[in-house]
Amino acid sequence: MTLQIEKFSKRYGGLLAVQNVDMVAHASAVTAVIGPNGAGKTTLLNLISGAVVPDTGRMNLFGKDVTGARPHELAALGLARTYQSPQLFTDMTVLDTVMVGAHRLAHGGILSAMINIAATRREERQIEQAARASLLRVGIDEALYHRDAMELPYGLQRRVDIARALATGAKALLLDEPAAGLNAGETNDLSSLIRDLAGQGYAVVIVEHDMEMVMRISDHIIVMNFGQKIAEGNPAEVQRNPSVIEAYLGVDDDEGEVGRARAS
Amino acid sequence: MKHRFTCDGQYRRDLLGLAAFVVIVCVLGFTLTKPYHLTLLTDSGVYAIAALGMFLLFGLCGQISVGQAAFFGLGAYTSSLLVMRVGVPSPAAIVAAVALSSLAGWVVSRPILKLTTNYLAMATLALGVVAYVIFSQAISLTGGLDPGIFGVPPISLFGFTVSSPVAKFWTVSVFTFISLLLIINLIHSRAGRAFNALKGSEIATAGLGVDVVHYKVIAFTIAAGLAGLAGALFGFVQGSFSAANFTVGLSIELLVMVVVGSLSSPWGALFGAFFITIVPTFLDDFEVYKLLLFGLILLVVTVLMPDGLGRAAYDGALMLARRLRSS
Repeated sequence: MTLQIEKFSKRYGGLLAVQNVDMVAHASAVTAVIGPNGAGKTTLLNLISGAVVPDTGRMNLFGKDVTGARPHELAALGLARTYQSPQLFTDMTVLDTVMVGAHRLAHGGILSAMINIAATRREERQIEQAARASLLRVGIDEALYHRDAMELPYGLQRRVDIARALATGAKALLLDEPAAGLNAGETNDLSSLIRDLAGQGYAVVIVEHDMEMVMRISDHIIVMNFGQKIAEGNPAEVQRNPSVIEAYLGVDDDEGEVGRARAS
Repeated sequence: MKHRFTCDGQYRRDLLGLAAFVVIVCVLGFTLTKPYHLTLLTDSGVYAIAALGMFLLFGLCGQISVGQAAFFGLGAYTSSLLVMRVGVPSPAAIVAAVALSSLAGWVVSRPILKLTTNYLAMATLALGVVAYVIFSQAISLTGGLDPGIFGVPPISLFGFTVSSPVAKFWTVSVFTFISLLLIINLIHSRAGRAFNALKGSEIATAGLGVDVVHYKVIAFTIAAGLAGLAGALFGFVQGSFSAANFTVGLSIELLVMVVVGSLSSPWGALFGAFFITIVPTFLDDFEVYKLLLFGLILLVVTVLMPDGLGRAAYDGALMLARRLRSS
Protein backbone atom coordinates (compact mmCIF):
# COMPACT_ATOMS: atom_id res chain seq x y z
CA MET A 1 0.00 0.00 0.00
CA THR A 2 1.13 3.50 -0.77
CA LEU A 3 -0.43 5.67 1.87
CA GLN A 4 -1.98 4.61 5.12
CA ILE A 5 -3.26 6.68 8.01
CA GLU A 6 -4.46 5.31 11.31
CA LYS A 7 -6.68 7.06 13.84
CA PHE A 8 -5.96 10.61 12.68
CA SER A 9 -7.56 13.21 14.96
CA LYS A 10 -7.42 16.97 15.04
CA ARG A 11 -9.21 19.26 17.45
CA TYR A 12 -9.62 23.02 17.01
CA GLY A 13 -10.79 24.34 20.37
CA GLY A 14 -14.12 22.66 21.00
CA LEU A 15 -14.43 21.37 17.46
CA LEU A 16 -13.26 17.89 16.56
CA ALA A 17 -12.45 18.58 12.91
CA VAL A 18 -11.18 15.05 12.32
CA GLN A 19 -11.84 12.18 14.66
CA ASN A 20 -10.20 8.75 14.53
CA VAL A 21 -10.08 8.51 10.77
CA ASP A 22 -8.39 5.51 9.12
CA MET A 23 -7.66 5.51 5.43
CA VAL A 24 -5.67 3.54 2.91
CA ALA A 25 -4.82 4.74 -0.59
CA HIS A 26 -3.35 2.25 -3.04
CA ALA A 27 -1.16 2.80 -6.06
CA SER A 28 -2.96 2.71 -9.42
CA ALA A 29 -6.22 3.67 -7.75
CA VAL A 30 -8.36 6.74 -7.17
CA THR A 31 -9.47 7.14 -3.57
CA ALA A 32 -12.11 9.80 -3.01
CA VAL A 33 -13.01 11.55 0.24
CA ILE A 34 -16.53 12.95 0.20
CA GLY A 35 -18.91 14.43 2.72
CA PRO A 36 -21.09 17.47 3.34
CA ASN A 37 -19.49 20.89 3.86
CA GLY A 38 -17.59 21.07 7.11
CA ALA A 39 -17.20 17.30 7.32
CA GLY A 40 -13.43 17.65 7.80
CA LYS A 41 -12.28 16.61 4.33
CA THR A 42 -9.84 19.45 3.74
CA THR A 43 -8.55 19.18 7.30
CA LEU A 44 -7.87 15.51 6.63
CA LEU A 45 -5.94 16.45 3.48
CA ASN A 46 -3.98 19.05 5.45
CA LEU A 47 -3.10 16.41 8.04
CA ILE A 48 -1.92 13.99 5.36
CA SER A 49 0.18 16.59 3.54
CA GLY A 50 1.79 17.68 6.80
CA ALA A 51 0.48 21.27 6.59
CA VAL A 52 -1.34 20.63 9.88
CA VAL A 53 0.02 18.32 12.57
CA PRO A 54 -2.51 15.76 13.87
CA ASP A 55 -3.16 15.50 17.61
CA THR A 56 -3.09 11.72 17.42
CA GLY A 57 -2.62 9.08 14.78
CA ARG A 58 0.06 7.50 12.66
CA MET A 59 0.87 7.73 8.99
CA ASN A 60 2.79 5.45 6.68
CA LEU A 61 4.00 6.48 3.23
CA PHE A 62 5.61 3.99 0.82
CA GLY A 63 6.38 1.69 3.74
CA LYS A 64 7.95 4.38 5.93
CA ASP A 65 6.54 5.69 9.18
CA VAL A 66 6.16 9.41 8.50
CA THR A 67 4.11 10.42 11.53
CA GLY A 68 4.71 14.12 12.26
CA ALA A 69 6.87 14.69 9.18
CA ARG A 70 6.94 18.23 7.75
CA PRO A 71 5.47 19.03 4.31
CA HIS A 72 8.80 19.30 2.50
CA GLU A 73 9.92 15.97 3.96
CA LEU A 74 6.73 14.27 2.79
CA ALA A 75 7.15 15.85 -0.64
CA ALA A 76 10.68 14.49 -0.75
CA LEU A 77 9.27 11.01 -0.14
CA GLY A 78 6.89 11.34 -3.07
CA LEU A 79 3.71 13.00 -1.82
CA ALA A 80 2.38 16.11 -3.55
CA ARG A 81 -0.88 18.00 -3.38
CA THR A 82 -3.00 20.66 -5.02
CA TYR A 83 -5.19 23.23 -3.31
CA GLN A 84 -8.85 24.16 -3.24
CA SER A 85 -7.87 27.60 -4.48
CA PRO A 86 -4.68 27.04 -6.47
CA GLN A 87 -1.84 28.46 -4.39
CA LEU A 88 0.08 29.79 -7.36
CA PHE A 89 2.98 32.16 -6.89
CA THR A 90 2.58 35.89 -7.48
CA ASP A 91 4.48 37.41 -10.41
CA MET A 92 5.64 34.05 -11.75
CA THR A 93 5.14 32.64 -15.21
CA VAL A 94 3.42 29.31 -15.79
CA LEU A 95 6.70 27.63 -16.67
CA ASP A 96 8.51 29.05 -13.63
CA THR A 97 5.69 27.99 -11.34
CA VAL A 98 5.91 24.40 -12.53
CA MET A 99 9.71 24.56 -12.41
CA VAL A 100 9.45 25.20 -8.67
CA GLY A 101 7.69 21.84 -8.59
CA ALA A 102 10.74 20.25 -10.20
CA HIS A 103 12.99 21.80 -7.53
CA ARG A 104 13.94 18.44 -6.07
CA LEU A 105 15.20 17.00 -9.36
CA ALA A 106 18.43 18.94 -8.91
CA HIS A 107 20.73 19.19 -5.92
CA GLY A 108 22.91 22.25 -6.41
CA GLY A 109 23.26 24.33 -3.25
CA ILE A 110 23.36 28.09 -2.79
CA LEU A 111 27.12 28.45 -3.24
CA SER A 112 27.09 26.30 -6.33
CA ALA A 113 24.29 28.46 -7.77
CA MET A 114 26.38 31.59 -7.21
CA ILE A 115 29.72 30.26 -8.45
CA ASN A 116 29.37 27.06 -10.47
CA ILE A 117 27.58 28.61 -13.44
CA ALA A 118 27.96 25.73 -15.91
CA ALA A 119 26.51 23.14 -13.54
CA THR A 120 23.65 25.48 -12.61
CA ARG A 121 22.76 26.08 -16.27
CA ARG A 122 22.73 22.30 -16.84
CA GLU A 123 20.43 21.81 -13.86
CA GLU A 124 18.17 24.60 -15.02
CA ARG A 125 17.74 22.96 -18.42
CA GLN A 126 16.96 19.62 -16.76
CA ILE A 127 14.39 21.27 -14.47
CA GLU A 128 12.84 23.12 -17.40
CA GLN A 129 12.47 19.87 -19.35
CA ALA A 130 10.73 18.19 -16.45
CA ALA A 131 8.40 21.18 -16.08
CA ARG A 132 7.59 21.17 -19.79
CA ALA A 133 6.80 17.44 -19.64
CA SER A 134 4.37 18.01 -16.76
CA LEU A 135 2.70 20.92 -18.53
CA LEU A 136 2.32 18.81 -21.67
CA ARG A 137 0.73 16.09 -19.63
CA VAL A 138 -2.00 18.32 -18.20
CA GLY A 139 -2.55 19.80 -21.64
CA ILE A 140 -1.49 23.41 -21.27
CA ASP A 141 -0.76 25.18 -24.52
CA GLU A 142 2.87 26.14 -24.96
CA ALA A 143 1.78 29.65 -25.90
CA LEU A 144 0.82 30.16 -22.25
CA TYR A 145 4.15 29.09 -20.70
CA HIS A 146 5.43 32.62 -20.33
CA ARG A 147 2.19 34.17 -19.15
CA ASP A 148 1.74 35.15 -15.53
CA ALA A 149 0.20 32.02 -13.95
CA MET A 150 -2.23 34.00 -11.80
CA GLU A 151 -3.67 35.81 -14.82
CA LEU A 152 -4.92 32.55 -16.37
CA PRO A 153 -8.57 31.48 -16.20
CA TYR A 154 -9.45 29.42 -13.16
CA GLY A 155 -9.63 26.10 -14.98
CA LEU A 156 -6.11 26.55 -16.33
CA GLN A 157 -4.81 27.64 -12.94
CA ARG A 158 -6.02 24.31 -11.56
CA ARG A 159 -4.12 22.48 -14.25
CA VAL A 160 -0.97 24.47 -13.54
CA ASP A 161 -1.42 23.46 -9.91
CA ILE A 162 -1.65 19.80 -10.93
CA ALA A 163 1.33 20.12 -13.30
CA ARG A 164 3.36 21.63 -10.47
CA ALA A 165 2.50 18.68 -8.22
CA LEU A 166 3.35 16.20 -10.99
CA ALA A 167 6.69 17.91 -11.61
CA THR A 168 7.84 16.94 -8.13
CA GLY A 169 7.94 13.34 -9.35
CA ALA A 170 5.56 12.36 -6.56
CA LYS A 171 3.75 9.03 -6.89
CA ALA A 172 1.03 9.90 -4.39
CA LEU A 173 -1.17 12.88 -5.28
CA LEU A 174 -3.68 14.66 -3.08
CA LEU A 175 -6.14 16.75 -5.11
CA ASP A 176 -8.33 19.14 -3.15
CA GLU A 177 -11.57 19.77 -5.09
CA PRO A 178 -9.92 19.69 -8.50
CA ALA A 179 -13.23 20.12 -10.36
CA ALA A 180 -14.49 23.14 -8.42
CA GLY A 181 -15.31 25.96 -10.80
CA LEU A 182 -14.78 23.89 -13.94
CA ASN A 183 -17.35 23.57 -16.72
CA ALA A 184 -18.62 20.20 -17.97
CA GLY A 185 -16.01 19.89 -20.71
CA GLU A 186 -13.14 20.76 -18.38
CA THR A 187 -14.46 18.33 -15.77
CA ASN A 188 -14.46 15.57 -18.37
CA ASP A 189 -10.86 16.32 -19.33
CA LEU A 190 -9.89 16.35 -15.68
CA SER A 191 -11.62 13.01 -15.08
CA SER A 192 -9.72 11.34 -17.87
CA LEU A 193 -6.45 12.91 -16.68
CA ILE A 194 -7.03 11.49 -13.18
CA ARG A 195 -7.91 8.05 -14.59
CA ASP A 196 -4.77 8.18 -16.76
CA LEU A 197 -2.63 9.01 -13.74
CA ALA A 198 -4.10 6.09 -11.79
CA GLY A 199 -3.48 3.92 -14.86
CA GLN A 200 0.18 4.93 -14.76
CA GLY A 201 0.56 3.79 -11.18
CA TYR A 202 -0.13 6.96 -9.21
CA ALA A 203 -2.05 6.74 -5.97
CA VAL A 204 -4.58 9.56 -6.33
CA VAL A 205 -6.58 10.87 -3.38
CA ILE A 206 -9.27 13.40 -4.24
CA VAL A 207 -11.60 15.49 -2.15
CA GLU A 208 -14.50 16.45 -4.38
CA HIS A 209 -18.08 17.69 -4.35
CA ASP A 210 -18.94 16.74 -7.93
CA MET A 211 -20.65 13.41 -7.09
CA GLU A 212 -21.14 12.39 -10.68
CA MET A 213 -17.40 12.68 -11.28
CA VAL A 214 -16.52 10.96 -8.00
CA MET A 215 -18.81 7.99 -8.73
CA ARG A 216 -17.37 7.71 -12.24
CA ILE A 217 -13.63 7.80 -11.51
CA SER A 218 -13.20 6.46 -7.97
CA ASP A 219 -12.11 2.96 -7.04
CA HIS A 220 -12.71 3.55 -3.37
CA ILE A 221 -14.74 6.18 -1.56
CA ILE A 222 -14.52 7.36 2.03
CA VAL A 223 -17.51 9.27 3.37
CA MET A 224 -17.04 11.74 6.22
CA ASN A 225 -19.52 13.64 8.34
CA PHE A 226 -18.82 15.77 11.43
CA GLY A 227 -15.14 14.76 11.36
CA GLN A 228 -15.82 11.05 11.40
CA LYS A 229 -15.66 8.41 8.74
CA ILE A 230 -19.23 7.15 8.40
CA ALA A 231 -18.81 4.77 5.48
CA GLU A 232 -16.44 3.50 2.84
CA GLY A 233 -16.43 1.19 -0.13
CA ASN A 234 -16.70 1.23 -3.89
CA PRO A 235 -19.10 3.71 -5.52
CA ALA A 236 -22.03 1.27 -5.65
CA GLU A 237 -21.65 0.29 -1.99
CA VAL A 238 -21.40 3.87 -0.82
CA GLN A 239 -24.52 4.93 -2.74
CA ARG A 240 -26.53 2.15 -1.09
CA ASN A 241 -25.27 2.89 2.42
CA PRO A 242 -28.14 4.20 4.58
CA SER A 243 -25.98 6.41 6.81
CA VAL A 244 -24.51 8.09 3.71
CA ILE A 245 -27.96 8.77 2.36
CA GLU A 246 -28.98 10.19 5.70
CA ALA A 247 -25.89 12.39 5.96
CA TYR A 248 -26.49 13.84 2.53
CA LEU A 249 -30.26 13.94 2.43
CA GLY A 250 -31.30 14.36 6.02
CA VAL A 251 -34.07 12.02 7.08
CA ASP A 252 -36.96 14.04 5.72
CA ASP A 253 -35.45 15.47 2.57
CA ASP A 254 -35.54 13.55 -0.68
CA GLU A 255 -33.12 15.60 -2.74
CA GLY A 256 -29.35 15.47 -2.39
CA GLU A 257 -26.08 15.03 -4.15
CA VAL A 258 -25.91 11.25 -3.80
CA GLY A 259 -29.53 10.87 -4.76
CA ARG A 260 -29.03 12.98 -7.85
CA ALA A 261 -25.95 11.05 -8.85
CA ARG A 262 -27.82 7.78 -8.50
CA ALA A 263 -30.71 9.07 -10.53
CA SER A 264 -28.49 10.20 -13.38
CA MET B 1 6.87 43.19 -16.81
CA LYS B 2 7.44 39.95 -14.97
CA HIS B 3 10.75 38.58 -13.95
CA ARG B 4 11.47 35.35 -15.75
CA PHE B 5 13.88 33.22 -13.83
CA THR B 6 13.88 30.26 -16.15
CA CYS B 7 14.82 31.55 -19.45
CA ASP B 8 18.41 31.68 -20.38
CA GLY B 9 17.22 34.84 -22.14
CA GLN B 10 16.64 36.76 -18.93
CA TYR B 11 19.91 35.49 -17.46
CA ARG B 12 21.75 36.61 -20.58
CA ARG B 13 20.09 40.01 -20.32
CA ASP B 14 21.31 40.40 -16.74
CA LEU B 15 24.83 39.37 -17.78
CA LEU B 16 24.66 41.99 -20.55
CA GLY B 17 23.60 44.44 -17.86
CA LEU B 18 26.74 43.50 -15.92
CA ALA B 19 28.85 44.17 -19.01
CA ALA B 20 27.18 47.57 -19.33
CA PHE B 21 27.90 48.18 -15.65
CA VAL B 22 31.61 47.49 -16.26
CA VAL B 23 31.69 49.86 -19.23
CA ILE B 24 29.94 52.64 -17.29
CA VAL B 25 32.27 52.20 -14.32
CA CYS B 26 35.32 52.36 -16.60
CA VAL B 27 34.05 55.48 -18.39
CA LEU B 28 33.30 57.20 -15.08
CA GLY B 29 36.57 56.05 -13.51
CA PHE B 30 38.66 57.41 -16.37
CA THR B 31 36.75 60.65 -16.97
CA LEU B 32 35.60 61.94 -13.60
CA THR B 33 38.15 64.13 -11.91
CA LYS B 34 36.24 65.92 -9.15
CA PRO B 35 36.74 64.07 -5.86
CA TYR B 36 33.20 65.10 -4.87
CA HIS B 37 31.62 63.19 -7.75
CA LEU B 38 33.82 60.15 -7.23
CA THR B 39 33.00 60.11 -3.53
CA LEU B 40 29.26 60.25 -4.22
CA LEU B 41 29.54 57.32 -6.63
CA THR B 42 31.71 55.38 -4.19
CA ASP B 43 29.15 55.89 -1.43
CA SER B 44 26.39 54.76 -3.81
CA GLY B 45 28.37 51.61 -4.55
CA VAL B 46 28.81 50.84 -0.84
CA TYR B 47 25.09 51.24 -0.17
CA ALA B 48 24.23 49.29 -3.33
CA ILE B 49 25.99 46.23 -1.90
CA ALA B 50 23.88 46.33 1.26
CA ALA B 51 20.77 47.10 -0.82
CA LEU B 52 21.46 43.99 -2.93
CA GLY B 53 21.14 41.93 0.23
CA MET B 54 17.92 43.80 0.96
CA PHE B 55 16.67 42.95 -2.56
CA LEU B 56 17.35 39.26 -1.97
CA LEU B 57 15.62 39.28 1.41
CA PHE B 58 12.71 41.63 0.77
CA GLY B 59 12.31 41.82 -3.00
CA LEU B 60 12.82 38.16 -3.80
CA CYS B 61 11.79 36.39 -0.58
CA GLY B 62 9.30 38.95 0.72
CA GLN B 63 10.89 38.93 4.20
CA ILE B 64 11.16 42.46 5.52
CA SER B 65 14.08 43.70 7.61
CA VAL B 66 14.29 47.08 9.27
CA GLY B 67 17.50 46.18 11.06
CA GLN B 68 20.18 45.86 8.39
CA ALA B 69 22.16 48.68 10.04
CA ALA B 70 23.09 46.16 12.76
CA PHE B 71 25.02 44.03 10.26
CA PHE B 72 26.33 47.06 8.41
CA GLY B 73 27.75 48.40 11.67
CA LEU B 74 29.07 45.00 12.73
CA GLY B 75 30.98 44.79 9.43
CA ALA B 76 32.40 48.28 9.84
CA TYR B 77 33.59 47.74 13.44
CA THR B 78 34.92 44.24 12.78
CA SER B 79 37.12 45.17 9.83
CA SER B 80 38.32 48.49 11.24
CA LEU B 81 39.17 47.10 14.68
CA LEU B 82 40.90 44.04 13.22
CA VAL B 83 43.13 46.28 11.11
CA MET B 84 43.79 48.90 13.78
CA ARG B 85 44.04 46.86 16.97
CA VAL B 86 45.14 43.43 15.78
CA GLY B 87 47.08 44.41 12.69
CA VAL B 88 45.24 42.06 10.36
CA PRO B 89 45.79 42.89 6.65
CA SER B 90 42.76 44.74 5.26
CA PRO B 91 41.62 42.05 2.74
CA ALA B 92 41.55 39.46 5.53
CA ALA B 93 39.70 41.95 7.75
CA ILE B 94 37.04 42.38 5.05
CA VAL B 95 36.62 38.61 4.77
CA ALA B 96 36.33 38.37 8.56
CA ALA B 97 33.74 41.17 8.62
CA VAL B 98 31.61 39.37 6.02
CA ALA B 99 31.98 36.06 7.86
CA LEU B 100 31.05 37.53 11.25
CA SER B 101 28.04 39.48 9.91
CA SER B 102 26.79 36.39 8.07
CA LEU B 103 27.21 34.33 11.22
CA ALA B 104 25.33 36.94 13.25
CA GLY B 105 22.60 36.97 10.60
CA TRP B 106 22.38 33.19 10.66
CA VAL B 107 22.16 33.06 14.45
CA VAL B 108 19.37 35.65 14.79
CA SER B 109 17.46 34.47 11.71
CA ARG B 110 16.40 31.12 13.21
CA PRO B 111 14.14 32.59 15.90
CA ILE B 112 13.31 35.83 14.06
CA LEU B 113 12.09 34.23 10.82
CA LYS B 114 9.35 32.38 12.65
CA LEU B 115 7.64 35.78 12.46
CA THR B 116 6.10 37.29 9.35
CA THR B 117 5.12 40.70 7.98
CA ASN B 118 4.59 43.39 10.64
CA TYR B 119 5.94 41.20 13.43
CA LEU B 120 9.10 40.47 11.46
CA ALA B 121 9.45 44.20 10.81
CA MET B 122 9.15 44.92 14.56
CA ALA B 123 11.62 42.19 15.54
CA THR B 124 14.22 43.35 13.03
CA LEU B 125 13.63 46.95 14.09
CA ALA B 126 14.33 45.89 17.68
CA LEU B 127 17.48 44.11 16.48
CA GLY B 128 18.67 47.32 14.84
CA VAL B 129 17.92 49.37 17.95
CA VAL B 130 19.70 46.91 20.26
CA ALA B 131 22.73 46.87 17.97
CA TYR B 132 22.77 50.68 17.94
CA VAL B 133 22.68 50.78 21.74
CA ILE B 134 25.58 48.33 21.90
CA PHE B 135 27.58 50.27 19.29
CA SER B 136 27.07 53.53 21.17
CA GLN B 137 27.61 52.15 24.69
CA ALA B 138 30.51 49.69 24.27
CA ILE B 139 32.79 52.68 24.24
CA SER B 140 36.04 50.86 25.03
CA LEU B 141 35.62 48.91 21.81
CA THR B 142 33.67 51.20 19.50
CA GLY B 143 34.40 54.66 20.80
CA GLY B 144 30.65 55.17 21.13
CA LEU B 145 29.05 58.22 19.53
CA ASP B 146 32.02 60.45 20.12
CA PRO B 147 34.80 60.07 19.08
CA GLY B 148 33.83 56.75 17.51
CA ILE B 149 36.48 55.16 15.34
CA PHE B 150 38.91 57.37 13.49
CA GLY B 151 42.09 56.99 11.53
CA VAL B 152 41.11 53.74 9.81
CA PRO B 153 44.00 53.07 7.42
CA PRO B 154 43.06 52.69 3.76
CA ILE B 155 42.70 49.25 2.20
CA SER B 156 46.03 47.96 0.98
CA LEU B 157 46.18 45.26 -1.66
CA PHE B 158 49.35 43.82 -3.21
CA GLY B 159 51.36 46.72 -1.86
CA PHE B 160 48.94 49.20 -3.42
CA THR B 161 47.18 51.61 -1.07
CA VAL B 162 43.60 52.62 -1.78
CA SER B 163 43.59 56.18 -0.51
CA SER B 164 42.69 58.51 -3.41
CA PRO B 165 39.01 59.06 -4.29
CA VAL B 166 39.49 57.40 -7.67
CA ALA B 167 41.20 54.34 -6.16
CA LYS B 168 38.34 54.01 -3.67
CA PHE B 169 35.86 54.27 -6.53
CA TRP B 170 37.59 51.45 -8.44
CA THR B 171 37.83 49.22 -5.37
CA VAL B 172 34.21 49.65 -4.31
CA SER B 173 33.08 49.15 -7.92
CA VAL B 174 34.89 45.81 -8.05
CA PHE B 175 33.11 44.68 -4.87
CA THR B 176 29.78 45.92 -6.22
CA PHE B 177 30.39 44.02 -9.45
CA ILE B 178 31.18 40.79 -7.60
CA SER B 179 28.09 41.16 -5.38
CA LEU B 180 25.89 41.81 -8.41
CA LEU B 181 27.33 38.82 -10.25
CA LEU B 182 26.76 36.46 -7.32
CA ILE B 183 23.19 37.68 -6.75
CA ILE B 184 22.34 37.47 -10.47
CA ASN B 185 23.68 33.92 -10.64
CA LEU B 186 21.68 33.05 -7.56
CA ILE B 187 18.34 34.39 -8.75
CA HIS B 188 18.62 32.47 -12.01
CA SER B 189 18.91 29.12 -10.26
CA ARG B 190 16.51 26.75 -8.59
CA ALA B 191 17.39 28.45 -5.29
CA GLY B 192 16.39 31.83 -6.69
CA ARG B 193 13.11 30.37 -7.88
CA ALA B 194 12.50 28.82 -4.47
CA PHE B 195 13.14 32.22 -2.83
CA ASN B 196 10.61 33.85 -5.12
CA ALA B 197 8.07 31.04 -4.70
CA LEU B 198 8.06 31.21 -0.91
CA LYS B 199 7.28 34.92 -1.20
CA GLY B 200 4.07 33.92 -3.02
CA SER B 201 3.02 30.98 -0.86
CA GLU B 202 5.12 29.36 1.83
CA ILE B 203 2.66 26.47 2.21
CA ALA B 204 2.65 25.62 -1.48
CA THR B 205 6.43 25.94 -1.69
CA ALA B 206 6.98 23.61 1.25
CA GLY B 207 4.49 21.18 -0.28
CA LEU B 208 6.79 20.88 -3.30
CA GLY B 209 9.71 19.64 -1.23
CA VAL B 210 11.42 22.97 -0.61
CA ASP B 211 12.67 23.42 2.95
CA VAL B 212 11.22 26.90 3.36
CA VAL B 213 12.84 27.61 6.74
CA HIS B 214 16.26 26.73 5.32
CA TYR B 215 15.83 29.07 2.37
CA LYS B 216 14.61 31.94 4.52
CA VAL B 217 17.58 31.51 6.85
CA ILE B 218 19.95 31.48 3.86
CA ALA B 219 18.42 34.68 2.46
CA PHE B 220 18.74 36.43 5.82
CA THR B 221 22.34 35.21 6.18
CA ILE B 222 23.38 36.41 2.72
CA ALA B 223 21.64 39.77 3.27
CA ALA B 224 23.51 40.15 6.58
CA GLY B 225 26.80 39.18 4.91
CA LEU B 226 26.33 41.76 2.15
CA ALA B 227 25.41 44.42 4.72
CA GLY B 228 28.60 43.45 6.59
CA LEU B 229 30.68 43.76 3.41
CA ALA B 230 29.16 47.19 2.74
CA GLY B 231 29.89 48.20 6.35
CA ALA B 232 33.53 47.06 6.09
CA LEU B 233 34.03 49.04 2.89
CA PHE B 234 32.24 52.02 4.48
CA GLY B 235 34.79 52.00 7.31
CA PHE B 236 37.77 51.98 4.95
CA VAL B 237 36.28 54.54 2.56
CA GLN B 238 35.26 56.99 5.29
CA GLY B 239 38.32 56.54 7.49
CA SER B 240 36.27 57.54 10.52
CA PHE B 241 32.78 56.80 11.73
CA SER B 242 30.76 56.43 14.90
CA ALA B 243 27.66 54.68 16.18
CA ALA B 244 25.66 57.63 14.82
CA ASN B 245 26.21 56.18 11.33
CA PHE B 246 24.33 52.99 12.16
CA THR B 247 20.98 54.21 13.42
CA VAL B 248 17.56 52.91 12.42
CA GLY B 249 17.68 55.66 9.77
CA LEU B 250 20.27 53.66 7.83
CA SER B 251 18.12 50.51 7.99
CA ILE B 252 15.15 52.41 6.64
CA GLU B 253 17.24 54.01 3.90
CA LEU B 254 18.37 50.56 2.74
CA LEU B 255 14.75 49.45 2.65
CA VAL B 256 13.70 52.59 0.76
CA MET B 257 16.49 51.99 -1.79
CA VAL B 258 15.01 48.69 -2.97
CA VAL B 259 11.44 50.00 -2.83
CA VAL B 260 12.37 53.03 -4.92
CA GLY B 261 14.67 51.07 -7.23
CA SER B 262 12.58 47.98 -7.91
CA LEU B 263 11.61 44.99 -5.85
CA SER B 264 11.72 42.65 -8.83
CA SER B 265 15.25 43.20 -10.07
CA PRO B 266 18.75 43.40 -8.57
CA TRP B 267 19.34 46.44 -10.76
CA GLY B 268 16.71 48.18 -8.68
CA ALA B 269 19.04 47.99 -5.67
CA LEU B 270 21.81 49.64 -7.67
CA PHE B 271 19.51 52.33 -9.00
CA GLY B 272 17.89 52.91 -5.61
CA ALA B 273 21.24 53.24 -3.82
CA PHE B 274 22.38 55.75 -6.43
CA PHE B 275 19.11 57.68 -6.26
CA ILE B 276 18.92 57.84 -2.46
CA THR B 277 22.59 58.88 -2.21
CA ILE B 278 22.55 61.48 -4.96
CA VAL B 279 19.14 63.16 -4.81
CA PRO B 280 19.49 64.70 -1.33
CA THR B 281 22.66 66.45 -2.47
CA PHE B 282 20.69 68.20 -5.25
CA LEU B 283 18.20 69.35 -2.66
CA ASP B 284 20.84 71.05 -0.53
CA ASP B 285 19.85 74.44 -1.97
CA PHE B 286 16.40 74.14 -0.46
CA GLU B 287 17.84 74.04 3.07
CA VAL B 288 15.00 73.56 5.59
CA TYR B 289 12.68 72.17 2.94
CA LYS B 290 15.17 69.49 1.91
CA LEU B 291 13.66 66.63 3.90
CA LEU B 292 10.14 67.66 2.97
CA LEU B 293 10.99 67.61 -0.74
CA PHE B 294 12.80 64.31 -0.41
CA GLY B 295 9.78 62.82 1.34
CA LEU B 296 7.49 64.15 -1.39
CA ILE B 297 9.64 62.59 -4.10
CA LEU B 298 9.55 59.23 -2.33
CA LEU B 299 5.78 59.50 -1.88
CA VAL B 300 5.22 60.26 -5.56
CA VAL B 301 7.49 57.39 -6.59
CA THR B 302 5.82 54.80 -4.38
CA VAL B 303 2.28 55.88 -5.27
CA LEU B 304 2.74 56.26 -9.02
CA MET B 305 5.36 53.56 -9.61
CA PRO B 306 4.55 50.54 -7.48
CA ASP B 307 7.47 48.57 -8.89
CA GLY B 308 9.90 51.38 -8.29
CA LEU B 309 11.35 54.33 -10.15
CA GLY B 310 14.13 52.17 -11.57
CA ARG B 311 11.68 49.79 -13.24
CA ALA B 312 9.51 52.66 -14.46
CA ALA B 313 12.54 54.40 -15.97
CA TYR B 314 13.66 51.14 -17.63
CA ASP B 315 10.21 50.44 -19.06
CA GLY B 316 9.92 54.04 -20.22
CA ALA B 317 13.28 53.84 -22.00
CA LEU B 318 12.24 50.58 -23.70
CA MET B 319 8.97 52.14 -24.87
CA LEU B 320 10.77 55.22 -26.20
CA ALA B 321 13.28 53.04 -28.06
CA ARG B 322 10.46 51.04 -29.63
CA ARG B 323 8.62 54.17 -30.71
CA LEU B 324 11.79 55.65 -32.21
CA ARG B 325 12.44 52.45 -34.12
CA SER B 326 8.91 52.24 -35.50
CA SER B 327 8.80 55.89 -36.61
